[in-house]
Amino acid sequence: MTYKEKVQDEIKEEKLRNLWQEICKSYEQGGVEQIKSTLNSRIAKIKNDYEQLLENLKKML
Amino acid sequence: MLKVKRVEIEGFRGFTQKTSIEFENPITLLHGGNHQGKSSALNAIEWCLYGDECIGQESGIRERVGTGEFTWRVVNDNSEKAEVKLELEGEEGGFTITRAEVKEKGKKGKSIKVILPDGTEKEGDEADQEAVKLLRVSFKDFTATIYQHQETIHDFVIQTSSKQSDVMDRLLGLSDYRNILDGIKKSDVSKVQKELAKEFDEFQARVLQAIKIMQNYLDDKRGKAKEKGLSEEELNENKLLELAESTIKDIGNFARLLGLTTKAIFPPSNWKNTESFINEIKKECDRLWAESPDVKEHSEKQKKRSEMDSRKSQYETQYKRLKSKEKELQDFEREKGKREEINNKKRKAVEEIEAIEKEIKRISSKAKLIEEGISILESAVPFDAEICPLCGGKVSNLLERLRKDWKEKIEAQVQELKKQRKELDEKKTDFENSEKKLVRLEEDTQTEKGELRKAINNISEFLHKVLNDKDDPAVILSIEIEKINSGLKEIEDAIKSKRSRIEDISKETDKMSLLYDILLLKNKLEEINQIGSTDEYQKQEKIKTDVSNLIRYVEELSKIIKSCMLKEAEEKIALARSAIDYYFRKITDNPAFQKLNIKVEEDKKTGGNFYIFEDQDGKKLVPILSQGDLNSIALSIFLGLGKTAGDSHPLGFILMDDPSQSLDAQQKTHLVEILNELSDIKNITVSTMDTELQQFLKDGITKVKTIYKFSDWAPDSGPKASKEI
Repeated sequence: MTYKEKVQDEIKEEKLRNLWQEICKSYEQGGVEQIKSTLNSRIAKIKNDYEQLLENLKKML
Repeated sequence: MLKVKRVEIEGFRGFTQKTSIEFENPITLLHGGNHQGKSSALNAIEWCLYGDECIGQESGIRERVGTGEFTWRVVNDNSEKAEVKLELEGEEGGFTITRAEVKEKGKKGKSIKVILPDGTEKEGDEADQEAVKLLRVSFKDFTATIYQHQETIHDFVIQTSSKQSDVMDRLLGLSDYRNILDGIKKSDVSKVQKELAKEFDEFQARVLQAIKIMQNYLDDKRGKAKEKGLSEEELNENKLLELAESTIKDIGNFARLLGLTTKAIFPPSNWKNTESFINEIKKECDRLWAESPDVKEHSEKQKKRSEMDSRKSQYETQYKRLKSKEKELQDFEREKGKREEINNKKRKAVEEIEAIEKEIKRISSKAKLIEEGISILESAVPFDAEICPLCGGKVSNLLERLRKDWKEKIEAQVQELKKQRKELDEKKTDFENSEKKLVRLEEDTQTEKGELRKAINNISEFLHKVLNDKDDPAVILSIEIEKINSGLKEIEDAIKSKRSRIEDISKETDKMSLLYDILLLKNKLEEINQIGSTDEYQKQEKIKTDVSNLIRYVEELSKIIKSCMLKEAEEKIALARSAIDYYFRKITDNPAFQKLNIKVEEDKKTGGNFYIFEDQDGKKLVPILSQGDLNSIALSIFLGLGKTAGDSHPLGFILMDDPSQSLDAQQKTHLVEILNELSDIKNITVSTMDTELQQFLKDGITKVKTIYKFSDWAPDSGPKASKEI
């Protein structure tokens, strides 16, 4: 069994499995840096949305 | 088991010319000095089998990490294309893999061709898939059990225990786990969560601060409202609108009182329009006040009084100036005399000067006569100049002395006269200056008199009254000002009561203003308190949950990866434990080491695996091992894993690059014995520059062997690989 299958076998949650597959895909495509970039772009989008919302909330003060 | 039969290399790394190496025997020895292409020959086999997988960070090999000029270059600098053809022999027959790469062509320049045992040719992706099927060994397993890299031994021997764990992971084929954990760790996920949490905390602090400030304002305004007679129950919109209605009535009554009419003012439709209503009321009050007859009269009288004050002040100033100038003139006349007296003194001085001039002339004529007399005496012949004509006595230079005496006498007289004349000249000048100053003072006094007259005329004109010289304008003005003051007092009393009406209206608007502020603050506080139920707030709560979930997934995943990595390491070590122990004891041949036990734990700092090497008594070995012993451990693990894979392993060969680093002669002999044993099941290729090991291999290996000598490497021709018989 490859590392990919071994880890996948241990995952019980669907969302976690999806994240693992996304990480594996990134690793196969561009290695360590690609994993970093994939996770960063995910979190960057969330951060951006969050900051926009916070700005709107600040305007209510 | 698949075995390498032959490799053909051209344009790959150090190789420029086509070079063939055969591996037909159980042992192949590649020997030669440093930088002669031995390692490149082994690299060529690896690259042909795995292509780009063996390049970059994912390869787990440090020298292959880097970009730009530090890239591990496949194509030789003097070649346009790298091509490696590998002939393998398996149970199903022989097949060939040919991998090529054209310089600077990127993905397009890369190709692979596989010729299967039945002669079928596959290219591109199909060829890649066929190669995977035939090899049945991942690149990681290949580096763990087939290809012992030079760097692996080197790193294990010289690095710290944490770095040795890194090498162990590589030897055990666990680099993928490590790399993925590294990629996750490098991401900003946790950092961003902290940032978002911080931003939200700051926002909440601002909300609390805003509530506190507004509550303070509200309490302050409530206190003021109470002072103005408003009860807590009245602090509402109804009271405010009620006040607005009554203020409109008050304005109307006030206008009537003044005999004026007011424009139509409407109460605010709701409390939010209070500010503009209050402004309108204030403006109307100002207008009515300004147009009130009493106020107008009061204002006019005030203006007249102010003008009188100004004229009175002007007159008094001018009067003082004239008096001051007149005093100055009188003081001067007292000191220097009147103009006629000064004139007389000046005339007398002129006459005296003229008399002195005459006297000087007379003395000059006399002097001339004496001079002429002396000259006649000098010309008289004979004349004894030494005899005085009067006393007959003998006098030397008589005439000369006579002339000198006369000259001195006359000069003294003239000098005295000139001195007198100078004094008189000074007096005359002094009189002239006094005369001039006196004229100026008289003129200034006249000017000031004229100015005073103008001021009086101005007052006369303003009061419409003729003022003669005996009138005192200041007194007259004071009487008039007093009259105006008493008039003003009468008006002020009259408007005082009206003023109180305005103040009452103002008090009402102040109350309205307070009520408006209170309602505004209450409204704002309500808005802030409701932020928590807005869509935006709910959305940000959801985002926070999403981020927490992502963090949780990442952490959970990291845990699973670490656990799998640990488990795989434990399994591999457990399987190869006896082989590793056997090889270690055999290579070191040290009676102190009767057993090598390898334990693996999770490294709490890095999250990766941490390996512990213990002896038969559970004593940690690393601190007491020599570099040769450390190399022995690394070789034992590599060979142990290879042996354990044994017959079940699809590949029947191993490649060893410079395995004898730091080993002593005895350890090298033992290594050769192990390789001799192992060559029963695997074809072994050893690359070395170690002449002692070469000799031991040549002498100690009992199987048939192929020996290649690598030498004479040059950039344009590559290495010379000579087969030794």
